[in-house]
Amino acid sequence: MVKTPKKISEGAEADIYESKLFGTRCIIKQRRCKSYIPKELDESLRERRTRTEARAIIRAAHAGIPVPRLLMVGVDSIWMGAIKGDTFQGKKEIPQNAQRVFGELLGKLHNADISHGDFTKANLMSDKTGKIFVIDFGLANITDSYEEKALDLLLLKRSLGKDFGGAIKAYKKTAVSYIEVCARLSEIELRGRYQERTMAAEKDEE
Amino acid sequence: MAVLGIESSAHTFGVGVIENGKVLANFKSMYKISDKGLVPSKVADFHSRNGKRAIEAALKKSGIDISDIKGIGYTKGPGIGSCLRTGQLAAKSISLAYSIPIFPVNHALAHVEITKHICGAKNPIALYVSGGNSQILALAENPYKHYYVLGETFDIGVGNMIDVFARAAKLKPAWGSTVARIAESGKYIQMPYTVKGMDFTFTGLLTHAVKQIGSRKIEDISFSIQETAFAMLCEATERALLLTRKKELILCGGVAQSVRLRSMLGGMCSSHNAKLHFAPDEFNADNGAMIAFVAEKMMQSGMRFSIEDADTDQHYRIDKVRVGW
Repeated sequence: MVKTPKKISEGAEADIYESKLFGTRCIIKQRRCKSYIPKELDESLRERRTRTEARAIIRAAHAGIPVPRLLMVGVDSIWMGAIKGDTFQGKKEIPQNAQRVFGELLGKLHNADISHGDFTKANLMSDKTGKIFVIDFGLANITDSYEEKALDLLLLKRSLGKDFGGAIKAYKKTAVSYIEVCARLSEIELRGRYQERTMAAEKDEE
Repeated sequence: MAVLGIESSAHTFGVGVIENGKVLANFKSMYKISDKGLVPSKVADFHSRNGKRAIEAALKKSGIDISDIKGIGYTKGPGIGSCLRTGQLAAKSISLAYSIPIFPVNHALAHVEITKHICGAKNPIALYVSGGNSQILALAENPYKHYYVLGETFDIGVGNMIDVFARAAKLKPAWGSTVARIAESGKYIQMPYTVKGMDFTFTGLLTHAVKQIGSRKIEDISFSIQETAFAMLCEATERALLLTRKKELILCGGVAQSVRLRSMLGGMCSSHNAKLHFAPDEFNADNGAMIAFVAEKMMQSGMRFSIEDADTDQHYRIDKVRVGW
């Protein structure tokens, strides 16, 4: 029934395995035990994050967002249906229509009160038909906080660079609270430690 | 070709002498911290009274006459303004009196570079942790060679957090080592844990820990605040290590003296077949040798600064510095 899992990659907190469950390819995300931090902290982090991740995936699926199929959840492991395709990591240019879909997907996530936590092109994946999936909800949170939503937008902006234009346009059309989130984004961008406050200075002159 | 370096960003007035990367002297004159912490004007006053003696002591130790010094470096920032200016003034005076080039050095860069040099690290990422700073750094080539900040604290430095906690608990300085000692017999209690990718925040943890004082055992709070903060640093650094696919980590800055942090990072590194490097403690604490070391690098790579450019900047970020070697 279950094929022996094969490790395919290592993340900062989890190992990713590939296996088969009832004949279909699946991906197992196993949060690694960290022997160098206190056991109580390690266990609570792994349990809490696994639970939140599973909840966020289900919630996103209910909101009609293409996400990996959730098959099984353990204390510190998640079994998901594998998606055949590639992420946008390493793609130099993102086509206009993909930019638009990125913005729409983030808008839909935020409308469902999900902040992704790591919404970059490394976590957006396109399958053979061109359908775009959101993956890795490992840092996701279920929240209505504008701050967390703005952080998602900031990460996408940093990840896309000049290709952010199409995404933010689509985000504004989709996200209900885009005004508040965008306002918070400009605030966050001025907040960095010891950053030059050029943008604030420009505002003062207006 | 000896170079003199003056460090005065906080409570240490350090003077170092370097010749071709070799440390000839690393003298420190330290302001004794009272229960109130650092009072900027008092520390600056202490530095201006003791600076000359420290410079003389370092030169004597190195066996080099001041007329044979070929360049002088000082800490431009980041640091406490009034303290930075004492070192800057001393460096400017020596530069003018002996007609030798002056080099404004970034404090964080100096910590990273001397550690890299002493440990012989080739291509590392760096975790720089001190009172005022906590950053994860890697060299980047574009648009020019500089240290890119992969992740950093959104609010206060990890050292500062432990100091503020220890002062609230009325512990004796030096706070970092006091908290570490008390923590040895502590048990873990749950604390807020905030990591955002490769960035992190400490104020939530600090507020929670301070609120526990009186209702929980001080050993348990000390243990938990320290373990939680270090675990956060470990997680963010682990993510940076995997993202950059590098196999070396250097740990530097004042908090790098923590035996517990070293052991946690060592465990993390070995789980990814990476190597952890750290320098002897005299280079983790603020010191003049690291400033002299970077000044020498700047001099050898042909950089020159006019006396008017020899300014100070309390908020001098490491990612603003062009690494010319």
